[in-house]
Amino acid sequence: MNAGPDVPGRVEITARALTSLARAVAAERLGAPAKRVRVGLGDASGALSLDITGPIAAGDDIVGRSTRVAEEVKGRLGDLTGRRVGSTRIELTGIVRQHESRTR
Amino acid sequence: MSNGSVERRIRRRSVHRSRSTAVTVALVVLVLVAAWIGTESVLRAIGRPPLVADPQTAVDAALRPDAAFTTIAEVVAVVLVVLGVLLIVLALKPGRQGRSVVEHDRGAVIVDTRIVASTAANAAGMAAGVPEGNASATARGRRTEVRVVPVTGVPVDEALVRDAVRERLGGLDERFGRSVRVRVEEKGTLA
Repeated sequence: MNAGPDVPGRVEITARALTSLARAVAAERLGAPAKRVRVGLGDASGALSLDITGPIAAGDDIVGRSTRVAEEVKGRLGDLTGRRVGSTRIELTGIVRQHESRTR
Repeated sequence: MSNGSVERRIRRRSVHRSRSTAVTVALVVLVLVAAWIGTESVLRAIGRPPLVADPQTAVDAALRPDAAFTTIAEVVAVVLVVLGVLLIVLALKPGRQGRSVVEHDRGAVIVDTRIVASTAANAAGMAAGVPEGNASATARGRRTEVRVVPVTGVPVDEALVRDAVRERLGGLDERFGRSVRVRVEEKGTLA
């Protein structure tokens, strides 16, 4: 990423930083603690592909909510990093209840 | 471009490979063979035993060959043909090295293709906004090929990269920037 033609140098975001960022965003949207969320990053023909594994906050319509979470994570991560985000895959591993997340 | 004879010679010598090594080797071999034939002749004349084979016996064997000698002669002939072809190629080829002359009003300026390639790679990396190692280039003669591995999620504009490379190479000499090919890899790297 260049800051522009007038500014010499270049901004680089490491893969680790990207992964942590994606993990934080995913945890925030899923309503789960970041500790229990795993995110894998990949490349799908030039765009960032996300592979999210983690629990989702308890509630109605989990499937619909997951789809919305995928969209939101995509948009937010794109805004934050300035990169194109392609496919997002979410694998739900459990449910997080409010009190459980408080004790943890 | 300065046209002094010294500059012209320096340019020529820098762009073309010298043939002195091939000439030296060929002449040394020739001298050794001539010396050997001379020695054998002298040894024969004064009636001493030959070093390897005396010339008369060798000629007789060549004229009336037996089976073993034919094989040897064939092998020697093949080796000589290969050597001969090699020498002819060395003599006729221009022996260009990967360098080109750059017009300059003072002195002789030669640019190596490696310089052209790394300049192109640097310009492409800057234009595409990818880390140093993600852009590579090869230059051959006037043609330059640039390969860019994009950073995942950041699309690379091929035309923009090509223009940047053209402009930068044009700064070296206008001939280099004419034929630039840019290839952007499908798969990117995360960082």
